[in-house]
Amino acid sequence: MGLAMDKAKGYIGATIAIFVAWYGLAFFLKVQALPSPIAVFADFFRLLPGDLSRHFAISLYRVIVSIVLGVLLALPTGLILGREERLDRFIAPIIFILYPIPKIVFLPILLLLLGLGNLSKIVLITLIVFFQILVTTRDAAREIPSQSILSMRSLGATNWQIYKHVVYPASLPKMFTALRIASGTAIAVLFFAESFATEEGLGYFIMDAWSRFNYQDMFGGIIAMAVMGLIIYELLDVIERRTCAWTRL
Amino acid sequence: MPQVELTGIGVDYHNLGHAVTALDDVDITIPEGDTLAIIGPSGCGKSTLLYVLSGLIQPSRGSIAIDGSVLGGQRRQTALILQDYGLFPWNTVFDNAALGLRVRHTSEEYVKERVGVILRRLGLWEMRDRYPGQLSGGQRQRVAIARSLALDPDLLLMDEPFSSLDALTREELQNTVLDIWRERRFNGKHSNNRADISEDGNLPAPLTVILVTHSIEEAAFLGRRIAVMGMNPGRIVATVDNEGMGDAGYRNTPGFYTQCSRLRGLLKNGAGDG
Repeated sequence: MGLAMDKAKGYIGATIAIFVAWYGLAFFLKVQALPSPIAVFADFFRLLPGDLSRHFAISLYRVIVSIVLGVLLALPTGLILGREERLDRFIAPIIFILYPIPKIVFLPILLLLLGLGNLSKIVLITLIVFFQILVTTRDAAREIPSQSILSMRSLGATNWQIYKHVVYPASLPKMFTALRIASGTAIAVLFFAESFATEEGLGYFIMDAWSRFNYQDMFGGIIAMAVMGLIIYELLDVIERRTCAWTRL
Repeated sequence: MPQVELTGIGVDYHNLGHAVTALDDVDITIPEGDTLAIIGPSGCGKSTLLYVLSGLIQPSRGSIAIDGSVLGGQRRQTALILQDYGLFPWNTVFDNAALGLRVRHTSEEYVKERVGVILRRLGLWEMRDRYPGQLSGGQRQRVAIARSLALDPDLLLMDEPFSSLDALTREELQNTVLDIWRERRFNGKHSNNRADISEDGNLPAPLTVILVTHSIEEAAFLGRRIAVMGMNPGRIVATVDNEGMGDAGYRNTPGFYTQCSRLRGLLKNGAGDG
């Protein structure tokens, strides 16, 4: 448990450092758009029991569902494409045409087809997570030394067993790296998606406060967003530690 | 009880549209319970020959008979040990050693017992929960040996298994292989050693060992027969009997040195031909 304590200490230290820098900046700038952190935190804890926690929960739900869906769809697809050359020859060009397109451009069509509720946001973020995980796991599966496969085959392993015992575990650490990067993008895009034609989520909360020139509320929403990012990051860390124990010796 | 017979084995493969002959006209017979060391320069096709023996590669020409029956694919009682990549970093020592049994859907009860016996025999029991990344190179190759022995093989194939180890560790592991081979050769005179007892509780059949190496000393120490290979195409240029092997002390005898310098000469001639 020493590790968790060290981590908590690190986060407390970082919060204090950011708080002090923020306070100094707000003190010197003296502009409305950057309120003092003391006022913001007071506002944050005042809003938390009511409205803010509802928006927070909705955003967190959207991101987590999208990440889970994205991984469930992309991980097996990526591993199979990485190992099955014939299939890859047909599918890879499609992926590489679609991959660089910023998925956010699909927001209008998703809003039209799937409505203004959770579904359109979840599908959009799932798309982002899906492509990043797909490209990474495909490459990871391709890089597995042929000797590893040969060694499994010499034990009499079936294709399924080779996937289970070699391809999947060998690609898992890289999948988590990609997922960490993708979750940052996912939150940024969620913010954007939630600022359109919706009345729920942290994106809405922040944009709404901004339109009312209520910068204290706005920064309260920003703090909530930072906390959400941290929760997702730490969750990924816990899952990775459980599933990839060998990488942390 | 495998006697291994290779007749007229040839392997061709295609490289950039050209047919390349990796192996040509290889004939060898290895009696049951014997050891054969295959030695030759890099790229002579000796690893290919081992993969053919394991059933992972189908030869383009010729046939292999193991135990009197023609080899058509992989065989349950054949175990293969590779130089690297054979162990998986995400599996503990125990899980690595158990992998072959689990792939074959052996009951978990038997896996525990069998792997436990083998790991103790090889001095790895205390390390069963460690990962390969926490082991020395020698310990890792011991785990690879453990995995093969867990399958209760009668034919053990090794592809340069110790070439990345330092000299003393390499000799230690060569001694281990020699011990295992000798124990089974005399049908379990060391039967207090439970690693020797096979699945059905009977004493195990003798173990036939085929080893590919580029080390002259390793070939002379472990091979009762030694096949010297030449290149372009890969073929056997000489076969040497090495009846003096079979004891860890053989390394320090004049006979061993004579054998080594003889092999060195044959290797040079073989290389000169190509």
